[in-house]
Amino acid sequence: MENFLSYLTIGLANGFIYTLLAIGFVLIYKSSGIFNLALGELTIFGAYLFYAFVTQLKLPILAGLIGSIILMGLLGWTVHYGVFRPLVGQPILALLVLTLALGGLLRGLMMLFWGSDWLTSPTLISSTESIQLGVISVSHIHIAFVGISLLLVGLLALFFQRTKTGLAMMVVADDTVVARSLGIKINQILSICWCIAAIAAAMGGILLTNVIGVSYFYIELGFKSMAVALVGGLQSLWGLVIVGPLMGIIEYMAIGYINPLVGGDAEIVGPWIVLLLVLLVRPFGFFGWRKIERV
Amino acid sequence: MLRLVNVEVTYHDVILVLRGVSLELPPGKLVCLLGANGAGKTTTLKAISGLLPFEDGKVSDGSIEFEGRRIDNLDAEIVTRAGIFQVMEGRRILEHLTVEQNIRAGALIGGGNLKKDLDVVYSYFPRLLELRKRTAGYLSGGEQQQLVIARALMAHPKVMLLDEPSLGLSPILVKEIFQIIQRVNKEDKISILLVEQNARLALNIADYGYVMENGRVVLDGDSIQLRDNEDIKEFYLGLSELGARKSYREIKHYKRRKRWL
Repeated sequence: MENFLSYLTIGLANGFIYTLLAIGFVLIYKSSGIFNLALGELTIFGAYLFYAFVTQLKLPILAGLIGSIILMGLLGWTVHYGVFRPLVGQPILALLVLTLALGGLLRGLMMLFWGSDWLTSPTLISSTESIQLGVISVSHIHIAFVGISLLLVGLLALFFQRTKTGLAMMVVADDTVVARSLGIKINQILSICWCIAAIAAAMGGILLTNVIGVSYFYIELGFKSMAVALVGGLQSLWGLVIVGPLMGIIEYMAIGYINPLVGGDAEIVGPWIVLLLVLLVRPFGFFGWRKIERV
Repeated sequence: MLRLVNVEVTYHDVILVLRGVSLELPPGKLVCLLGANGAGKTTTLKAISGLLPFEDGKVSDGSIEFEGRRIDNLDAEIVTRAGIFQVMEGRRILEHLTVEQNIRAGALIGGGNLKKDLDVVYSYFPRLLELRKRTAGYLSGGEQQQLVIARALMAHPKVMLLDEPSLGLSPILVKEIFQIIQRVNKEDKISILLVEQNARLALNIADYGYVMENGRVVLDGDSIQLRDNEDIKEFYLGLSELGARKSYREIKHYKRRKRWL
């Protein structure tokens, strides 16, 4: 029983990482229709930046954190401004391939600067200290996963509902042509989206370094987050809060109960099978916007 | 105030849709643009408001001037910020947002007191006040049309380009909408360029009218003159030369081709 509960909680907490990474993915898709396949690379890049600031340049941890976030925000902005802005209106497939190229570029840069070894960085939040919740102990870092994801989603929800820029982003997400005819500066809005996406990915990456160090494993995590985003429906941020942990739980249940039967690695396939099954039944994902058609 | 001189519009670089359209919208007036389907009326509006690039079109010749400044081929965002607002054909609302969010979206352009503007707009359209929290995609056609006009009002435009506001609406609603359009023109002093299929209603509220066919303006004049014009009566109002309904029993056997010039 204890095992079950601990798989449940660890799965839940890990699932929130997928939520965190998927936020950026959903934002970009919602506002510009682009499938950002460079999600994993953005995540690692943020982690590497943090590593560079704190381990290589020996800056204090807080400075490293803020520095990485600001640089990633700049990266996001530049990606839209420099790469996607001149290509507004081009076929989506071309833009999708462009994100692949972006991922490759980032990977190349990272190999160049930091090599391909598994690195460790100083811990921001401990992964060994934990608190007791009844019979199970939850480590601090897992609580951080949950807390920061929920915080970010909550802040973004407030941002969309209450601010003018947030409303403008929702308008752009709904209909780009109408947005332009309403006088909204589309490129500004899309740049902000990319900015937030890069920052969210970076935060996920930085948190992850505390658990598994910096490595290219994150790319796999990036793809799993895309699966989460697809199951969630690509339109709703709150949907991610529900689907992320769900996928995490399924994954860890697979590790705990199916792996012994199958001989390992069921958790890698698990999320994708779930994605397949869900899309068969609900093509728009659980929380996606259905096409509103009045008959 | 708004002047088009010999405007030519091409789609995909090969399809010539407007062949030298010239028209003028004086400040504070309501001008209507009539014509059969495919005459180029919507293209004229899109040329003014800068929405042509979305269909791979551009103004290939001629000039469009607004308050002395050239605006042809400018970005749609810039033209809107200059004060020209188009209410697009087919009621393009933001389906997944609520009614209130749709209306607020109109105010994103800035320069107005949000609360006061909302009150004014809701007083024009009390039905929308009841429906504020509803998802806009589920509104009926008439309500959606009110919504897009409300959204346009929030932007305090100097010129409103209305594209077929009566599309698919019941006659009673059409009358209501037209009353509102007239009110907007007279009370808020917004100049309006109205594209309409319903020639009779349009000429009733307009000060001046242009008739388009095949990408050209073929007739223009005061609305009163146009209403009494024989050709308009026969081709757009369906009245034969005697002012009576066309009797299909007396249809001529040969096709009568009308040449405008």
